[in-house]
Amino acid sequence: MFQTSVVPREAVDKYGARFGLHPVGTGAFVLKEKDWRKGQSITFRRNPNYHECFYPEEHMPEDVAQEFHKPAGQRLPFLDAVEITFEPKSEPMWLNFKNGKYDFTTVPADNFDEVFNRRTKKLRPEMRAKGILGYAIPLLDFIFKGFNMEDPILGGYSAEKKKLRQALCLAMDWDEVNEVFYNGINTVYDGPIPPGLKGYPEGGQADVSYRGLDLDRAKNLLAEAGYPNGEGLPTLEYYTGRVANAQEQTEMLQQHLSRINVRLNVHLLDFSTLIQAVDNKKAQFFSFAWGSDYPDAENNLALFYGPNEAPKPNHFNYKNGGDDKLYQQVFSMLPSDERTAIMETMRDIVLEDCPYGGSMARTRFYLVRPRLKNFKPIETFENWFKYIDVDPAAE
Amino acid sequence: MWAYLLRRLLYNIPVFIGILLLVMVALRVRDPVYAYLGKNASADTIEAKRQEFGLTRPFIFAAPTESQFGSFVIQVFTLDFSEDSWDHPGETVGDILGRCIGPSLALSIPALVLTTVISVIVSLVAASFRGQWIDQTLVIAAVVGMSVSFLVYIIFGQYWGAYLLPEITGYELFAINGYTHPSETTWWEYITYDWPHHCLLPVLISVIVAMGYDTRFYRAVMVEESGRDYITTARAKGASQAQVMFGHMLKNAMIPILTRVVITIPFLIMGSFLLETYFTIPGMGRQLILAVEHADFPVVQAFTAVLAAIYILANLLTDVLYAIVDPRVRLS
Repeated sequence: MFQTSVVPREAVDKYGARFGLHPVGTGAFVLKEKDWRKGQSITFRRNPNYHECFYPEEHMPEDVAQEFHKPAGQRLPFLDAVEITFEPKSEPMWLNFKNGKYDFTTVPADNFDEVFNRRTKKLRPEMRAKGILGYAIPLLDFIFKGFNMEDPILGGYSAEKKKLRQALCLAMDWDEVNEVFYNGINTVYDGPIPPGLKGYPEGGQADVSYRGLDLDRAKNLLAEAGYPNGEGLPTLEYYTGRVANAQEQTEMLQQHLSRINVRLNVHLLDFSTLIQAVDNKKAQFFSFAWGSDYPDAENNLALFYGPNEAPKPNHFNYKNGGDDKLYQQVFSMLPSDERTAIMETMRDIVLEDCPYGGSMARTRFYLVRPRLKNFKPIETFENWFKYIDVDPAAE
Repeated sequence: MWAYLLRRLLYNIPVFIGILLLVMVALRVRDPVYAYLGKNASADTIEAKRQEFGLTRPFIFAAPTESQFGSFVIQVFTLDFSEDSWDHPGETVGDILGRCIGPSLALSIPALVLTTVISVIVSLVAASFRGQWIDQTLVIAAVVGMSVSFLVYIIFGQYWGAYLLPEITGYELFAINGYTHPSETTWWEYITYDWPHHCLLPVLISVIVAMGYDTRFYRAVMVEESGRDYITTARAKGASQAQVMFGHMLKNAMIPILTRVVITIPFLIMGSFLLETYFTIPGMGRQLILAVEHADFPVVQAFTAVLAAIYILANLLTDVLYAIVDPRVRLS
């Protein structure tokens, strides 16, 4: 897994809970005590005892096009030191990148239009003129509105119950959420498998889809569920965390669902209370998100595995025997087309049962200065410092 | 005086313990372990962490060393901040407190001194020209200054002072962010380069923001003093304008000035969190906000206790200073 590293047992034994303050590893760089200015910056310096390790010889065609192949066969790491600055606020980070202090940065949402053309998502000419490179990297995000499948109103597996959830999902306009709150830069898609992973539907569109906005279909399904024009359906209890623009996003959800005459009673909670409500199976309808722990769809499909019900990660308390069997099968399989096909089947089973409404994944935009070489922004691999190099003449 | 101070100190002990109780209750209204562990913690993990953090102990009704409240009170009164931070395992609350005080003081003391000196001088000038265009201009400037958000000053200050200025002049007078501790350099370099480079811009922003409020307050005090009989007498005796302002008016205005200055100290130390956050200065205000965000309860508790103690001591200091600047005040 990309977040794991080899560490010496004797160091862990010695420092115990303090190991995080005295990291000992096997990487290309070392961290000295004075180089860790807590809350400010951290400087990694070349590890003189690093094992013989060379820049890869084989490259993907798109990497060759960007000349990432040039240092092939050279000894790693290239740099004597890498300095990382912690920026709690985006405004000073952005100014520091603009005045050349940082070699790469993410693009703050407020500065998106300054850098990219919103429609084409391409770098603006003035950025290109400076030799700056831009990258759009989708995150392994699964942002959704979950239903508690044990709830007497929204839960259950009968045809009527499924239709009720499907109707709610079809009334949610994720594209509008994306446009209004995220400058339209996120990816809206079907299923729980985020872009970039095997099992993600092509173009984000699965064969089975109840993703809105389709009000006519939503109204028909609502009627078939026994609530024509929303009549007879009690006000739903919606739980969400008190984060940045949760209030505004919730108001938009209320507006979306009001179009099929569904009303929400909103519980805007701090995060720990939200988790408790979901873990205790008290939250009927809730807003949550999942960031994949590792780049494999199995991690996301685990959210729908029956034995993982709350307080474990199956926050929906979703139980489908067929899906569970497939999950057990996938769990022990090596990556293959067959495994991907099974995961796609699981995805479609979940989509049909509709234990959630969604989905959306954020996109992170990176900017790289011309002097930084061999840097390929990626969200699924963290050991890339050893490959990067600096060419001061290129600035 | 010492008897008075001791008596005031003793009176304040129940107040201080009450504050500690309120803080601890407030932090436990919702389960802090849930907030700390996040959404994927199992019930077993949560229970294990509760035990590890001592949250399964009785809150108050037990022997002082056994209860959560009693042991915290003992820790505070014995200045024992050896409890581990939840967010930085292996680092004690005392370590965090120790490394945050310096940067906070590097920002707050110069800001307080500069703000007070400039505001008092401006308010004296305004009061001396009461009703005239100088006074009106200064009052309008103060109101306008107060009306603009602190955040706007910070963002524009960083843009103009630390981004545009180097772009135009090629000389980087101010840094956008960062802080160098005196231990990382020599004192000479710290005073002549590192402090001005990293801290002068946030200090100037802080002074500009505070000046609006302080000038208005001090002007009101000075105007009130300027109408008193002793000022008329001083003028009748031929005292110059400077003598009236600095020799008579300022002396008599010292009580409200001192009250405001000393009461401001605790807020300056903790209240600079916006400046500390935007300029990445690792001070106490920023650390407290981070501790709240990361549910680092030992740090929140300890910082709040320290803040309450500073506040109480600041009040005591105000009383002592009253007696020093005004001979009519007796501490008895």
